[in-house]
Amino acid sequence: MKFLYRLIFFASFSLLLACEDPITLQLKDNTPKYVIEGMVTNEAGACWVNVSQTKSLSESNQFNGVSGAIVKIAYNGNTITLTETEKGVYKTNLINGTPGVTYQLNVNIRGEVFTASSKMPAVVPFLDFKLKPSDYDTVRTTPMVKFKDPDGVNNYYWFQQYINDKLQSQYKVLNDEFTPGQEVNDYLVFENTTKNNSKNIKRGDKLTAEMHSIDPAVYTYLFSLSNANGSLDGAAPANPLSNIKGGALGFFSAHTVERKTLVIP
Amino acid sequence: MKKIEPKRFLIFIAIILLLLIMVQSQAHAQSMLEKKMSIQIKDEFLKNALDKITTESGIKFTYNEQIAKSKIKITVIAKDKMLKEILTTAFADQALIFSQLDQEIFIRFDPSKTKKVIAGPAANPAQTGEKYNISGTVKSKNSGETLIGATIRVTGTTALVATSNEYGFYSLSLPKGSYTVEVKTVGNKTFRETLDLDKNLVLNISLEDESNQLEMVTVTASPSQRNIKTTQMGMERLSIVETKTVPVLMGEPDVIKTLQLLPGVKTGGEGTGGMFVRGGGADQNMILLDEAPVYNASHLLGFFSTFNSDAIKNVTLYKGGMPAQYGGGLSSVLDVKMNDGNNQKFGVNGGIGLIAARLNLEGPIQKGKSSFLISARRTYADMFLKLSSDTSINKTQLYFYDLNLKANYILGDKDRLYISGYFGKDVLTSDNLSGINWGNATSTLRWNHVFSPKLFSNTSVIFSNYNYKIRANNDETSLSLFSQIRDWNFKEDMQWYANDKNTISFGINSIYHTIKPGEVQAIGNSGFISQNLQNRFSLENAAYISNTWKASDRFSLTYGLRLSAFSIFGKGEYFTIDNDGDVIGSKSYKSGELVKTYFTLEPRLAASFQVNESTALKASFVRNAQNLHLISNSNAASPTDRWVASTNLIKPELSDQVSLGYYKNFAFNSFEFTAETYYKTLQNQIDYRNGADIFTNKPIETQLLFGKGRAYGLELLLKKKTGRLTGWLGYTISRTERKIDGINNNEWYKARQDKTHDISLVTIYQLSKKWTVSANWVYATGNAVTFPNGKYTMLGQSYYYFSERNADRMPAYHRLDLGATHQLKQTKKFSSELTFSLYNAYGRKNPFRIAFKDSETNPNQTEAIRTTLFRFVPSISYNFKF
Repeated sequence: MKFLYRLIFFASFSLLLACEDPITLQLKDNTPKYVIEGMVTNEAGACWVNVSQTKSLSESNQFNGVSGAIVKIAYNGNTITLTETEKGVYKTNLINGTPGVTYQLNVNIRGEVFTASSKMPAVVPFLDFKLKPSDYDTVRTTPMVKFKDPDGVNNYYWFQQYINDKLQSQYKVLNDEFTPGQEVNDYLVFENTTKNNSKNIKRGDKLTAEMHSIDPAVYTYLFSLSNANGSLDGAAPANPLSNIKGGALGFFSAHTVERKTLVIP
Repeated sequence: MKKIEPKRFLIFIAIILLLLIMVQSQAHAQSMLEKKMSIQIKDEFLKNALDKITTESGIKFTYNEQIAKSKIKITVIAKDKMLKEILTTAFADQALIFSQLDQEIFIRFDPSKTKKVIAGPAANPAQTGEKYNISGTVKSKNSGETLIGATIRVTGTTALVATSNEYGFYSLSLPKGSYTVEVKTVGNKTFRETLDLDKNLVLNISLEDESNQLEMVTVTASPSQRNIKTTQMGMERLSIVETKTVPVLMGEPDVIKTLQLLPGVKTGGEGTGGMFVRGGGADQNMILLDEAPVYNASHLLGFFSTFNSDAIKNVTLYKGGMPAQYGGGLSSVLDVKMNDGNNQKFGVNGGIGLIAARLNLEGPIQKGKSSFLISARRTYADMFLKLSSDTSINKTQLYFYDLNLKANYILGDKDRLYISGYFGKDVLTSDNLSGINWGNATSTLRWNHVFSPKLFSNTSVIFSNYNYKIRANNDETSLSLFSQIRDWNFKEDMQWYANDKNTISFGINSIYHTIKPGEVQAIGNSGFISQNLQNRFSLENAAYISNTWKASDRFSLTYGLRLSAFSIFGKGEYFTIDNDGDVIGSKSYKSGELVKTYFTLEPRLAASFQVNESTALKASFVRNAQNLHLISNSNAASPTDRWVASTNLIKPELSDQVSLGYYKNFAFNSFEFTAETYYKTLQNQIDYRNGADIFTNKPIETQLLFGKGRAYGLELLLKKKTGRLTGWLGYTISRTERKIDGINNNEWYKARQDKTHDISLVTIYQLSKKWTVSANWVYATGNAVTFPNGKYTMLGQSYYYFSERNADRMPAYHRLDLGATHQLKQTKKFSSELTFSLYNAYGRKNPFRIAFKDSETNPNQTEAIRTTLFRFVPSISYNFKF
C-alpha cells in the first residue's frame, strides 16, 4: 500500500513538471560508526558477517571494511570463530543453519563488543513465482509470489530480488497481520529507478526471488531500513531499528532461503 | 542566530518593544491636528467654516446635526499654523471642543466648557443618565448579504465604536441625545444618518456597493482602527477581495495561500497547503466552515485549499488570544463564513482558469426575505492527461470538485434561519484501478434570534463527515481501506450587550464524534482478510463565558473561561502499553460505558491599553486543548494521515500562549503597523515512533511517542490600506521546537516547520480603471530537515546515517509572483475580466525535496538530488458576473 501511495505521489509530481538536478550542500562531518551485517542461513556454507565503518558522503561508495575483528557465532553450546576472507568480510562454512535454533553473534573490534541474537524460523514453502504478460513493462515489472502462511504463529517474510543474478536494491518485507493462515499472492516490484534506459528490463532477462522466513526483530530492521532514507512525502528520515546491542548499525539474521527463477518470455 | 535561548529571546523582544515606544513618541507628531495650513475665514457659519478647512487641508470633520445647523459664526486668520492652534483659537469663546477620531476630526458641543452657551435651536440635552440602545443588522443593499466586522461609529454627546458580529448584528448603549451614525466596511459606501435617541431603536443598515466591478476594487480601508480599539490580538481578517487580488499558483484564488503571506503563518514547503501557525502543527488549526469543523482543508495533496473563494464571505484567523467561544484547536482558529446568497436579485458569476472552472448562482427565493446560493468548482486538468502518450500518465485520474450550497430565510425582525452545506471530493487514481479518494461533507442549520436589542443568540446543529478510501485493485484481487470521522455537533452562542461597558458572551457546545479508524476489505487471492478496526466514540462538551469590559476610554479587558470535557465511551477495547510500545494489558468496555473523561479549564485573558488615538498596547493569555489528533509523519497534507481521538493513553494536547502586541496607525490611518510577540508551550505532543507501521491493526498507541513543544517569535506587519498602492510587508523571526521521548536522544530538536526568518511583501497597484497589477515576494529560511552525515554499505547498497533530528536546513526559499487583472467589458448587467499571473517569476529552484542517492553518471559517488516543482508557472483565467 505504501508503494501505491508513492506511485501516486510520483505520478502527480511528474505531471506538475517537476525537475531534478544535483545540488551541493554543506553537510556535517561523519563520526565513524561500526556497521555489522550478519547472516546465518539454512543453505550449506552460507554464513558470513561483514564488519565496516560509516564514511563521509563525499567519499566513494566502496565497502569500508574493518579488519582484525574477532567474530564468533554461538549456537546449541558450540562457538565458531569466523575467518576474515577479505577486508571486513568474515566467513565460515561450518554452520548449516537449522530452523528453531537461536544463533548468538559476538563481534569484538579492538575491545569494543557488539552482540546480537536471532532465531531461525521454520521454513514456509515458496509455492510459486510467475509473471503475467500484462505485468511486464520495461521500466516496471511486477511478477507474483505465492506462499501459504502457517496458521497459529506470527510469521515474517523477506523477499530479495535479482535480475540476471544481480541483487537489486528493491526488496519486500511482509508480515501476516492481515493474512493469518492464508494463501498469499503478492507482487514484487522490479524497477529501473534510474533515467538510464540501458538498465530497462528486457525480454529474456532472468528474474529471481529469494524468499526468507525471518524473525520479528529482523523484520523491524528491514521494514525500517526501507523507510530510513525518508519518504517522498517528507517524513523525517531515521536510522533503522537494529537488533545489534552495543551501538553498531546493521543487523544479524538467521533465516531460511528458498529461491525461484523465471525468464521473461 | 544559531541558538537563541528563550530568555535571551524575550529580552530581545522587550528591547524591540521599548524601541517601538520611543519611536512612537516621535511618530505621534504626525497627527492630523498638527498639520500646518494657512486660511482666512470671516464670520462664517460653523459648518461652512469647517467645509473651507476641509477644502484647504483635506482633513475631514465629523459632527452631528446640531453642529451642522448651528448658527455659531467663526472667524479664523491663520498663517502656517497647526490645525490644533487654529481650532483652539476659533473655538475659544464657544462651547465647542474637538478631538481626533479615526481619520477625521470630531467636533461636538461641550456645555461644561463655557457657561456662555450660544448653541443652536436644537440645544444639547444635558446628560440625564438615561441610556438607550441602538441595535440592528448591517447588510449589503445590493445583495442583502449580512456584513461581518463593519465598523459602526456613533458620534454626538459621546462617541462610541462597535463592530458587527459574525451575523452582521450590532448593539450599542448610549445616553439620550442626538447622534450621527456612520457605518463603514471594505468595498461598500459609507452610510451616514443622524438621529435623535430618546427610546430604544432598531436600525437596520443597508450599505451600497462601492462599484459594480467584479469585487476587484482596490482594497480600501479595512474598518479602520479595529486594531486599536478592541482587546483582540493575533487576529487577521481577510475579505475575499484581498484574496482575489493576490497572485497565486495556477491563478486559483486561495484563502489559505493568502493567509500564508501573513506573519506567523507558514507553509510546510513548496506547494503544500498545510498551514503552520506560530509553531503549531498542520492539524492544530481548528478550521470551521459555517461553524462546521473541516478535517482536511486541502485538495490535491495540499496544492489547493477546499475553500472556493466564490462562496466565501469572510475569513478570520486567530493566531492567539482566541475568544472563549472557540476551542478544540491548539494553535489557531480559522473561521470561514460562506456567503448567504443574494436576496435582492438573481446573479451568476464564475470563471475559467488554467486548471479549474467555477460557477456560482445565487438569488432570492422570496425577494428580501430568503435567498439561495449554489457554488461549484471542478478541476479539469485530468482531461489533458488523456492526451499524453505515456501510458502511466494517460491512465491517471486526478481531479477534485467541491460544491457549496446555502439557503437562508428571514423569519421576521428577530429571527433568521440558515442552512448550508459543503461537499468536496478528491480522486487520485493511477492505472484505472488503484487510487485514493477522499472528501469532506459538512452541513449546518443555524437559527439567529434576537431576544432583546441587547441579547443575540445563535443556535447551530452541525453535521460533519470526512472519509478516505484507498483501493489497490488488479485483475485478481481488490483491496480497499476505508476510514472516517463523523461528528454531530450542537452549539448555542449568546451575546449579551449588557451595557456600554460590558459585553458578555457565553454558550455551550457538544460534539459527538464517531471515528472509524480503518476498515479493510479484500476480495480475491491476495490472502488479505477483511477486517474492521474498532470504532471510537467520544463526546466533547464545552461551556464558556467571557466578558469584555471597557474599564475606561483607554483600558479594556476581556476575561473568560472555557471548560472543556472530553469523554470517551465504549464499545471498544482500551490498552495499556509498556515503554517499548508493546501491549501489556487491555480492558473491554460495553457499548455506552464511560472509559475516561478529561476536563480542561481554559482561561482566556486579553487586555488593551490605548496609548493615544492611534496607538495601543495589548497583552493576552490563552490556553487551548485539543482532543482530536492527526497522526502524520509527513509535512504534506496527505489524505491517509490518521485522525485519532484522545484515549486512556493519548492525552489531550494542551497549549499555553502569552503574547504582547503593539499597534500603531499613522499617516491618517492609511498605514497600520503591528508588532506581536508570543511564547507558547505545548504539552502531550504526538509523533510516530521510528520505524512505525502506519498500516497496522495493532492499537495505534503502540506506534506513538509523546512529548512537548515550545515556540516563540516576533511578528512585524506594516500594512498600507488606502490609495492606489496597497499591500503589506511582514516579517517573522521565530523558533519552534519539540522534545519527544524516544526521538533525538530525548533532546530538544527543531520542528520541521521551524523557519528562523520569514519575509513577505504583498503589493497591489491600481494602474488605471482597467488594469490592476500585483506582485508578492516571499523569503524564508529553509525548513529544518535531517540530512545524512555518513554512509555505509548494507545488502550491497548504500544507506545513510543520520545523527541529529532536523539539525540541517533546506536552502533558503524565495519567490516572486506577478499578477495583473484586466477589466474587460463592463455594463450594468454584465462585467468580465481577465486575470494573468506568473508564479515564481524569476524561476528560483526552490527544493521541494532533497534526496541522496548514488550518482547515475558515477555510481561510486553520492549525489544530493533536488526536486523542484514550480518554476515560471503562468496562468490565465477569465471571470464574469451578470
